[in-house]
Amino acid sequence: MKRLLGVALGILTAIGGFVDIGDLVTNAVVGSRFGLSLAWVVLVGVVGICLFANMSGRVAAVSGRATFEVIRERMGARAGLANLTASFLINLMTVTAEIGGIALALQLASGVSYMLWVPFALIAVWLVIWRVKFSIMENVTGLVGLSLVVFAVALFLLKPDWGSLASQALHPSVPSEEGPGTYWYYAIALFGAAMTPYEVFFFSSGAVEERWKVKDLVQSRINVLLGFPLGGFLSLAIAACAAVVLLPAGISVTTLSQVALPVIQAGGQLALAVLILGVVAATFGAALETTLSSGYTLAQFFGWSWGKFRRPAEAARFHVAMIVVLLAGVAVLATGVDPILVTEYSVVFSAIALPLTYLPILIVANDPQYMGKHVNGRAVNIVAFVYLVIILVASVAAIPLMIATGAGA
Amino acid sequence: MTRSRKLLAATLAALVFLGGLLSGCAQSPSADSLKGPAKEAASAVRTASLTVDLRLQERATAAAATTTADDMLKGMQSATDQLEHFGAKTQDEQSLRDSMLAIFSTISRSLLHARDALAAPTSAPGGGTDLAGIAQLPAVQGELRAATEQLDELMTKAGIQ
Amino acid sequence: MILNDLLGTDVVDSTGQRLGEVSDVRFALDAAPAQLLSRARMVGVVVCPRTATSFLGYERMDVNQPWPLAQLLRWRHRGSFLVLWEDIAVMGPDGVRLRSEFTAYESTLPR
Repeated sequence: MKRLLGVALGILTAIGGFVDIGDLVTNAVVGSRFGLSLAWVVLVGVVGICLFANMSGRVAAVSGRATFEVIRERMGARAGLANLTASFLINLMTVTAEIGGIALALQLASGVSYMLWVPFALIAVWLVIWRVKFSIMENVTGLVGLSLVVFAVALFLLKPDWGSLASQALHPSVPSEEGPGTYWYYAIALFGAAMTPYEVFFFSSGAVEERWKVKDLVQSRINVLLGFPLGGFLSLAIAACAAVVLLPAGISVTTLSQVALPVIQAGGQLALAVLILGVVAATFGAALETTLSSGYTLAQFFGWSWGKFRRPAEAARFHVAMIVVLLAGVAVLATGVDPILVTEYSVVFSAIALPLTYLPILIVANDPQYMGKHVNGRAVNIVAFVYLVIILVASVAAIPLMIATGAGA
Repeated sequence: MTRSRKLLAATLAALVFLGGLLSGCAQSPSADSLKGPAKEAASAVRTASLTVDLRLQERATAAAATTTADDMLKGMQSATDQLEHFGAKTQDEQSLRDSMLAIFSTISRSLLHARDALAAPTSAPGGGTDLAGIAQLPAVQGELRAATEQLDELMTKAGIQ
Repeated sequence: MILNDLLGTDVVDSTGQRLGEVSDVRFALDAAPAQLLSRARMVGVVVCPRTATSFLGYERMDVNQPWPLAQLLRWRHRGSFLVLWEDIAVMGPDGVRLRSEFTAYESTLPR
């Protein structure tokens, strides 16, 4: 019974933890501009993140090494450092976006400008990282984040034409008002939002934090294989809500307040309250994860002691690095840059940097010296290689498309 | 410079070149550069309209509705900025830009009115004496709709869709 | 001199003909015992005619999954060979010069 409860908890946190500001914004933007014609990308992204998280979790549990320890060992100091720089900068962007997301959600609740909420969000995130136990932190934000299911409920309340939604999703085509360049640019953004690399740093470091052994792999596989696809459904519900309400009204999403409109229309003030709770929890959880991830990547690369299972004084550099990251993120927000804009760029840059983390994990997951008999099976390797190609294509195409479409304008 | 660095530099240069090429093909100046701000404005005014509707039905809270209106005002500001930076080359472009600017200021004004009406308390303690309040929302809605129509008309005339 | 100074530098033979770049340095753990492991002894350098990038572990012949990736990396490093420490005449920041009668060994690690 206790075991079953553990599994259920794991799945629920995986669902709640899947959606962050990147998924919220990108799915709503895409839904309001392209309907469900990019739904297939969410599917591709979810399968990809399941594959990738599973591999990195297995590497961590079997070899005891988290992602950046592996990158450092396999790629050497020089290539590893370039990799670290890119991953760290994107992580920093994501931290900035998530803190902005918390503040924007609080503005939606209170009407007080998000700028005034930023310091509050900063201190709250830092306190939790400093004081709260890893498992509590993960479970609480994940479970409360589940209130984003309100998007799925709202979709039912809106009584959409399910047939037309399904045909948009099953027969994707570029809408007449948008060019093919924009379509593919947002395809990459959506892919990056679903497959954000920080989730993988976090997942593998979390495996070390929670001292996974080989026998825990079954449970982690269940969490990932059920939780992430259900999270993907949540993403699709966000896009569908926007497609049902905002697309016909001629509204294309550029702010978080617009993301909330379909939910408000469907469920009124109660639904809005649940939505805000969900957004705050999801972005707060993701802010914790991204901040920890930047600490993990730095500490693992430079060989500092790291982890929340150690007391802060025993992992001083790890904690200082995270404080610096948080302050840097807040400094970026203080310039007045639109957090939604930061979010949109962060998901695309995540897609660009994806090969940097995916390739080393794939290689090490095949290395018998690390993995013993737990190396990738043949079927996994075939799928993993197909994804390597997809990831490389998306990564190379992203910047030309960004320039050509003026970042999807 | 080792060979791998040269390769990297060449790849980057190729990417930038390709991007430039694509962007060169994609954007003919003139009406296309007005498309971005026009669409942004259209989306902003429609968002405000929907928000006022939701507020009238008491579905949206005052906080959420004013946040939305504030966001849309910011959006209009950036759309206006873009439009002002648009260098018109022909007489036609100039007149198109000018009429669009005029409509943008109409939209901004109606958005301001909407924001004020949305921010007011739902029921005034003294009764119907306060002017800015939920009672004003239908009038504001009319204003927003009229501005939307003007913009749509202009966009159709200019062939922006 | 640290390894980073050596990796990627040019390798020439005794006549000054360019042979490639240093893409790896091989060590054996068979010297005097130290605290944890025995001290590392430098066996030689791996010279690759085309690229100084890493083999990413695929120099070991028993590692060959995922197959297309292994093939790609091996193809990129084709023609690589191992030169023993004894066959190196000069090793400095400007590169490595080999002795006239050096032996090129197979650079892959069989197992």
